[in-house]
Amino acid sequence: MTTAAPLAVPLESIPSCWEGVIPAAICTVGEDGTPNVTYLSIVHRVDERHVALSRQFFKKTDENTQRNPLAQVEVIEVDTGRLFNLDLRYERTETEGPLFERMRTHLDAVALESGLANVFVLKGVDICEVTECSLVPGKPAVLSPGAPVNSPVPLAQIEAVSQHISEAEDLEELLQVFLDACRDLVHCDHAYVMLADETGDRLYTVASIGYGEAGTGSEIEVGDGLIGLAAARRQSVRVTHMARDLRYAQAARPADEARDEIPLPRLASTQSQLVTPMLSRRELVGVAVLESERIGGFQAADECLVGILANQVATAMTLLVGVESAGVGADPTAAPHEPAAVVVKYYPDDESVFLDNEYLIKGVAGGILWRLLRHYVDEGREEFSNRELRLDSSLALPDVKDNLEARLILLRKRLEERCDYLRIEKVARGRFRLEVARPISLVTGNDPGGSEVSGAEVSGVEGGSAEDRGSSG
Amino acid sequence: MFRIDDELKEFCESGVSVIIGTVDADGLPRVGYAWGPRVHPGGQRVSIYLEVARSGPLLAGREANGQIAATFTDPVSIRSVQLKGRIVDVGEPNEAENTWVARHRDAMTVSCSLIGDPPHMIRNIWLDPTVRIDFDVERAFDQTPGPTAGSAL
Repeated sequence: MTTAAPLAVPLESIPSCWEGVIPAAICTVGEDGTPNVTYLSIVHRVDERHVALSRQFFKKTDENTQRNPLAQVEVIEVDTGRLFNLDLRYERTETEGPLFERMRTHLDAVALESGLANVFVLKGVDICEVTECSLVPGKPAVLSPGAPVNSPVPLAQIEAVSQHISEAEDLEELLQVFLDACRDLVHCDHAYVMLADETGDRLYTVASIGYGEAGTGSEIEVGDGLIGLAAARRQSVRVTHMARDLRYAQAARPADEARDEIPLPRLASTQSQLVTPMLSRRELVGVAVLESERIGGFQAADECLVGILANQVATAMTLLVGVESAGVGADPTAAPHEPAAVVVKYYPDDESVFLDNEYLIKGVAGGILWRLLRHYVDEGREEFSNRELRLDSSLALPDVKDNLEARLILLRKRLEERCDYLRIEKVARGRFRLEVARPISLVTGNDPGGSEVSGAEVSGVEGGSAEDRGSSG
Repeated sequence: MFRIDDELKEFCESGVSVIIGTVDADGLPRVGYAWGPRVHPGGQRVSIYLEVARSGPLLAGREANGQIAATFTDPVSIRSVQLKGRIVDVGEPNEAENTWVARHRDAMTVSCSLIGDPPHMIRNIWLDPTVRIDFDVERAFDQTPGPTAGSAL
């Protein structure tokens, strides 16, 4: 058995060339000696001697490689502008399997990004042996400002994060550990987590770091856009160069949003996005979304690392369900004052809740808030347990994977973002307190004028006992 | 022979990216960037400019093969056209041609910047001096991504 001579430039030493940031050029030769030159969407490094090329609509390139297996590809290192030539020998075409699916998802993401979803269709993946990889003569490499320096994977830090994940006592702590790891290990300052709802058809934002508007409670359909694509395919999607079309689309989005839609967290100029599904026993628990304003902001190693952490967090999340125990609530302290009543309007059809006509939340989280406020108004109750909510048949939570804790985090964060008179505070594992600092007027909103709930207006006092509150109906 | 009309001439001489393909003396495909595309009067001959330092492999098959393919792509619209023909001359550019090449490089940098490519990276791709390649266009193809890619113009 002979061993091929090492390549002049090892493929693994130029990782940014395989990110698809700048399209690669390919030249093939026809039977009659005519060259053909075009751009490739994706050159994917398979191993140290092979690359995979996306086969889409290059009739002549496909025809040439079937008859003459030799090709040359020129790739660009995005951070330096250095050019590399790859001499290739076509080996085979794959039309299914993990590599094909991975590249199909990548290509679909590129198509979504550039507004060409119906144009980019992956017909196959051409696997080619790299017979040489050489540096093209050029200027000295100048590293871009802010470019990542290839450093060894910080195994000790990963172990520490893994330990923190295993020790997290509740979902909120778990998600914070994960987002902190994105910041510390991947150097990503902008990230959020969306969890799958009970149907598995929608994702909602439950935690984020690094955004002006946290986006808590924002929702998308599974299958919609880059995030939905990653969720639907159960595959990471990494976009390294958001094209102008997408940025225009993002810029246009706020005007299209309905009044009761919460916008997704977003940066002013996202250039790179990494969306990683969070899977536990092959089931979609949620997705992690990392964003960067830098072109080529995430590389293959980042994708691997986030994938490992995301799946560990997903597994830990499923283990957390059901371990809550009934705790003992803390003694309330009184802080009485009597500001004006806030009108809480509830629409049963979609369980949306408005505070003084400002949209707050909808869905299961909206239903939970409405029931808490009803208990508060009708019975003067302030402390609640997760367990009683799970047993509340009117909330229609499923027996398994009910996402209750996630909904409570979502609700708590939305209240913190939107008002200063309603709070949900954890008092013990599986127990929380509803803190109300203004009188509450509960109104159902099925008819245009709304109908006031009997005995609805209550002078709510933060931490006050039931006797401290008067009620007027 | 294919004749480049005024509209295609304007496109080819705008801030497009230009990649060329040739075949070396051993029949191996060679690929590289080119600059400063210029359509000659009559629309049948085109000049492009290659870095001297990179031109060796790209021109190594000129005697044995002499064929060239050049693809012109607008980075913003992704409109893409491939011209195929034969190299008829290679020469040293004069000062006016160097200015023409610089104009094209600046225009392409602007086009690429519109879709977010870092200008400093684009500028780091090119080198001076250059060598002029003249080729006569025999065929032209629509290369814009999509089902019509590869169809003859």
